[in-house]
Amino acid sequence: MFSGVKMRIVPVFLFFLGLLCLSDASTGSHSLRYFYTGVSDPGLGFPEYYSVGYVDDKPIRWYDSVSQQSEPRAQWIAKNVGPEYWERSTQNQRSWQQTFKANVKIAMDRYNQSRGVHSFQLMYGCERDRDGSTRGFFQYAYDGQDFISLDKDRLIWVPAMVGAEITEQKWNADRSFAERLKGYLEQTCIEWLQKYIQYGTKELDSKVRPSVKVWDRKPEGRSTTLHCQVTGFYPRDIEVKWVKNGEVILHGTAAKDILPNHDGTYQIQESVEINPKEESTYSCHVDHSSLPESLSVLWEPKSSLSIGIIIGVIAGVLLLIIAVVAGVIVYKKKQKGEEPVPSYSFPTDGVTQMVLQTDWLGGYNAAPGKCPEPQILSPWGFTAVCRFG
Amino acid sequence: MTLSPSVKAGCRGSVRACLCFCLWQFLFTEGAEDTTPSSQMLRAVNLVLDCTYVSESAGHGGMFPGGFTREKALLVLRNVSVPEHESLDSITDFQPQPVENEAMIFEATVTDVEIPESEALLHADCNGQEVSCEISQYFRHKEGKAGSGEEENTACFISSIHISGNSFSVTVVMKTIPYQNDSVGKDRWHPRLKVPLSPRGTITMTVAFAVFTHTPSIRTQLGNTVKLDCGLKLSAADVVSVEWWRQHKGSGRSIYMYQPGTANRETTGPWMDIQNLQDSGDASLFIEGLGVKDEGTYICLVSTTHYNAQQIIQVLVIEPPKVKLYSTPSHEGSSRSLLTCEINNYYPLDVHVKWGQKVPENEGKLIEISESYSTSHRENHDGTFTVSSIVSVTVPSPEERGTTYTCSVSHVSLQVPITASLHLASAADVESFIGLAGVSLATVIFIVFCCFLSSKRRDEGRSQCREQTAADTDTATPHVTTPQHKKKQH
Repeated sequence: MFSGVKMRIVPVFLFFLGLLCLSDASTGSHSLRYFYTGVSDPGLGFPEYYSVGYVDDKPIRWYDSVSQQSEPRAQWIAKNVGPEYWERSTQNQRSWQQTFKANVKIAMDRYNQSRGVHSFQLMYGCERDRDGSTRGFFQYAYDGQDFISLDKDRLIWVPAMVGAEITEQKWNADRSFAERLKGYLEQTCIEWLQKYIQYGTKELDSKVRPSVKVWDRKPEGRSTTLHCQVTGFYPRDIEVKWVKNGEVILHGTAAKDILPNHDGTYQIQESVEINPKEESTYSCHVDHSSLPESLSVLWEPKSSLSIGIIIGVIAGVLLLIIAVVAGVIVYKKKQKGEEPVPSYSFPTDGVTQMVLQTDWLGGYNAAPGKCPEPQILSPWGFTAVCRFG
Repeated sequence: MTLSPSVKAGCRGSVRACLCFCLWQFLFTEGAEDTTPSSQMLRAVNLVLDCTYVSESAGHGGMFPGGFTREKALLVLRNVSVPEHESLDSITDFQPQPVENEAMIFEATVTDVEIPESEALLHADCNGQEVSCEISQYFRHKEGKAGSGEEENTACFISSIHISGNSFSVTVVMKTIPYQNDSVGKDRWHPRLKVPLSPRGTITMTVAFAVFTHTPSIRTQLGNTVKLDCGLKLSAADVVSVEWWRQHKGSGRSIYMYQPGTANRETTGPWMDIQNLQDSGDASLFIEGLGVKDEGTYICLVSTTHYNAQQIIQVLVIEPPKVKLYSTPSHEGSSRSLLTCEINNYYPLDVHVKWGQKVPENEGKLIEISESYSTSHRENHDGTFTVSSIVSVTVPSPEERGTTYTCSVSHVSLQVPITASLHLASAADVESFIGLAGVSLATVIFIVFCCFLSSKRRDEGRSQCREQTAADTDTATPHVTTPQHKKKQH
């Protein structure tokens, strides 16, 4: 399992970068975003510089300092743009590569660091809602921490790290850089986004139905928990809720709970604690754009354990009156009945995704000793890569 | 006139000696130039800080042209108000010595823009705190420059001063006195900074603007109301606007905006006391019922007609874990049991768990257990985490007295680890307890039943029967109520 994790690290982080500031597809919005990363020491298995472009959550373009070529990452892009597009992109990226190489070193110099692995990152992009409203962002990070961001509306740069003030000073002194970026984010970026949406209509608007699984689990010393696992759906937006006797008791749409599957679809799990002694019906309701009407899966409880215990105890006492020895044996059997029934089996791809989630949230703590200090990862992500083995 | 390291070391050594040394070294009263501030309790002094002048070296393109150069510099803040102090009488005058052309002494006079916490800066070294100070060139907005002709021939510098221990941080914008390029002689001109020098060889300026915070870093528990301190000092005539920006893990947005003349938007989220801002330059932001979602870097951006400066404030959520230790019997017939140490509702993510066991045979010495595994952590709805650490242990045989297991949890929120312990008794003992309980209970019922039957037949046998019942119940009860494992939680 660990080797699997190791091999997945690069795509995982790229993917998570891709999930950042994810557009809300339920409102019909689309986004175009770019992520550039430069590292001081490419020994980690990363290229010294790489960049990736996304439309929504689909990668469209890749460049790295090893190949030094911009390449399509989606069929629908490759089909629709000509060789001059890749030529221009390659030239552009080669100069970014130089800039990033210099920037990592200079940022290290700013923080008096002469060695170690350091990274410098840029992400920028734009978003357009169905109603025509747009948003844009442009920001840098150093060592996985926000470094400086553009406040597009006020045309100022906001330093987020002590040490970024000199850059902020300089950039804020001359508004023309911020103005140029604002122009790009509000015009050029949106125009290209609309082009890309046309090219990829079929893929971007594809819909995949989720599969839903409901089960219960009673951890020792805790109340029974019902789990609803919804997986394999696309697009990302979904609504999952637990309904008790027709009333919504848990409403989960928190974007962070939605996890990616390896095939580009998503999954989510919603869990709710219940009192099994109550005579109630529980069902998991799923609303997704792929479903003509909401899907509802009923939880069917197994015969109540507590009643079993009561009957067992009474029976045991009665038997004891007849034969003390037999009574002891019967009592022991009833004790055994209190052990939690293993009714829990996790879908295979779910397990994989849990590992991914752990990486995302912070380190991987299932392998103690191998990754001694799990740390919260930022969406800048990659600096916190945990080296296995 | 630079401070020798030996003097500084002496400062830290003794607080009493420190006052004399520090005041002598850091404080220079002025003879003729001394202007006493309005309050009679205050006194104007000069504050001298060791700084680094950071400038960009020439280079080619990129975010920073070609790296940075660092040079030693002194920042003399003249006319700083501090409360009157007896020992100030013994202070030596500041006598600047002739300096080389290259040396940088920035001399900024405090007039209408005061320096906050000047006393703290004055005594920081004595209190064992480090003061870090960086000076760099300040670039004004182009719009600001075009405003008046007077501004054309001034240069500005910005100084960021931090007191260690995250207690105070201030950014000071300083402006040189106006000059005419051609009227300044070559010898009175700083070769690299391209600013005129005073006859004393210093760069003379006035303090134009200051933004400061007493809370550069805030660590707090969930649900608290926090104040993100941000204050500003500027000349009375200036117009000020304040923006609070929150940046966290790659996403940033403006969360509060104050511009004079515009209606303040009613927000349900974080808020600022506008009256306080107008009265005393207090631009602090308040966040009520802090959640994990509020964690991040907050930037207090203050803009005036000519200048802008900001303070960066880190807000970190620290929530201590709740620890629960329990055992689960392994499979039937197994001599092993699983101990689960459940670590609940903590933040941030990192926790360290140490397992130990105390065997009575070993005089109660705590032995560490290294073989443990943990579940994947779970994220709760409030953003806190839950994780369990599990060890598999051998259930003691009936001859053994049982073992006490401990689970120690270390977390950034805890000064000392939380330790939960559990006494694991012999499984055979437990079974025999239950068995005995069953036997006793059955006996009692059986006897009661007997008595019931016999009482119907023979009245004289009743009292005897009753005595026997009482005796049996007394011995049986403790076994029934003895818990299988003792749980203890600190």
